[in-house]
Amino acid sequence: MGVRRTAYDREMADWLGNVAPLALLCQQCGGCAAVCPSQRHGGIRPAELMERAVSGSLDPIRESSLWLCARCMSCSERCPSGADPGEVIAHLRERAVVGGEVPAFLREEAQRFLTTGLSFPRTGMTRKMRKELGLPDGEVSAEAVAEAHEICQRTGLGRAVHD
Amino acid sequence: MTRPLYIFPGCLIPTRLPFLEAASRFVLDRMGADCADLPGATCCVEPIGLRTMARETWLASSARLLAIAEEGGRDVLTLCNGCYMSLKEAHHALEDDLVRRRVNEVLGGIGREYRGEVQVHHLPGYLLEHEEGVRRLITRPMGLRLAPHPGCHMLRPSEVLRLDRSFRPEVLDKIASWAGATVDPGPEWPACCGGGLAGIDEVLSAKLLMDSVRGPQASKVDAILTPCPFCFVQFDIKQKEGVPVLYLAELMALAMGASPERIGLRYHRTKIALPSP
Ligand code: SF4
Ligand code: SF4
Ligand code: SF4
Ligand code: SF4
Repeated sequence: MGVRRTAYDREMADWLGNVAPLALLCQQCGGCAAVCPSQRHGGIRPAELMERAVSGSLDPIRESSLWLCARCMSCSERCPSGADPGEVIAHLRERAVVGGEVPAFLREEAQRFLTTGLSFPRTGMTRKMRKELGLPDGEVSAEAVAEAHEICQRTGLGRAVHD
Repeated sequence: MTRPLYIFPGCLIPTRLPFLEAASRFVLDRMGADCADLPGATCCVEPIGLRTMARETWLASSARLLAIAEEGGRDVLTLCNGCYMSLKEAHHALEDDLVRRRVNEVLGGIGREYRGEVQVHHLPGYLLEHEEGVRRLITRPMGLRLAPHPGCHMLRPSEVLRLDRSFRPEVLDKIASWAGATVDPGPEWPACCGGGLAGIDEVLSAKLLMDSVRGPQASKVDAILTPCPFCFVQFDIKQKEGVPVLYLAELMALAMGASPERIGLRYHRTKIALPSP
């Protein structure tokens, strides 16, 4: 019988990175599971993920349920131990992204941010509505897009969307 | 006293729901708020999906927006729960000197620096702080019965957002009452409308949406009241057999005498019946 690996092991702690200090606080009280609107409908299971993150039986790249979090932050708000499951899930997603796993929808959104500075597309319809309502055109300037793009290159998002 | 403001409309409102911007500008204008548009604005890095792909990109992009505001000597005012959470959480994280130094190394690459001297306000919080001024401007009390939907990111994480309590929130109810509306008691723990899952899992998103509208549908309110454009889209477009929705600034603008035409109420998919003036 081998000894069960936990986040207290050096190797495991390295693997967990940012997740470890938070995930280790989890007492498995189940509070987050009870309040999670996604788990209620068969989506993400925050308490279970916390347990699996700590015990090393979770591979973020293969864990597609990570993307079923609505980020309502009810879990973190309710957590009595300060384990911040909502933030742990975000860190796990980032590990998946670093490993090359990005849902198509988000890849598209990220590319849009890199090239237009916005997360949502501006359309002819919007421009027409803005005119009808007497609003300024509110286009994102080329300089602003260039600055946002540069930030993406210097941080994580630029890498994440480059194949 | 609030300092002069930069309006940060984000990107969902300007690209899909400009009428919510028109209503917000009407209210701020009536209040005599000293507002300008945040120069060089981009998206804050959308906090539900994009931010979780690259935390540092979010932090630096939000810091860039705060740095621009700081340079102009104005605070930031958001019209969207998502923008508020993004900027307010970044603001909070950047209070840590080590974090600010790390982020400033990135900002240095585009010739900017953030020193930490800006405040972030969300429209409901701004209205709350100016109760007297808002009340004085109400010329047409709106005799509507509304169901409050604050939306997750007006409330949580409450320690950081500091706008309303997360158990039995009360800010929307208060402001709506100044406008002459009656607000049904909402759920003690306000539901998520599922907006964060739209595009990723439509079926799951719709189930969350149904959970959040069951109450308002059963109680036959005139409309759902929300301060968030993401929630607005869920209710106005994705809800089946829909209860109409009003964005907080729309309610206030109407109560301050704006005509429905002026603020583009016609663009709602689910039409709302207003009491005759
Ligand atoms: S943030 Fe995600 S995991 Fe947490 S309660 Fe909300 S949907 Fe569930
Ligand atoms: S609420 Fe906190 S302590 Fe309880 S199971 Fe969830 S993460 Fe662990
Ligand atoms: S929170 Fe949403 S609307 Fe606001 S700027 Fe970011 S992506 Fe755009
Ligand atoms: S209720 Fe939905 S759209 Fe509204 S703030 Fe929460 S997650 Fe976002």
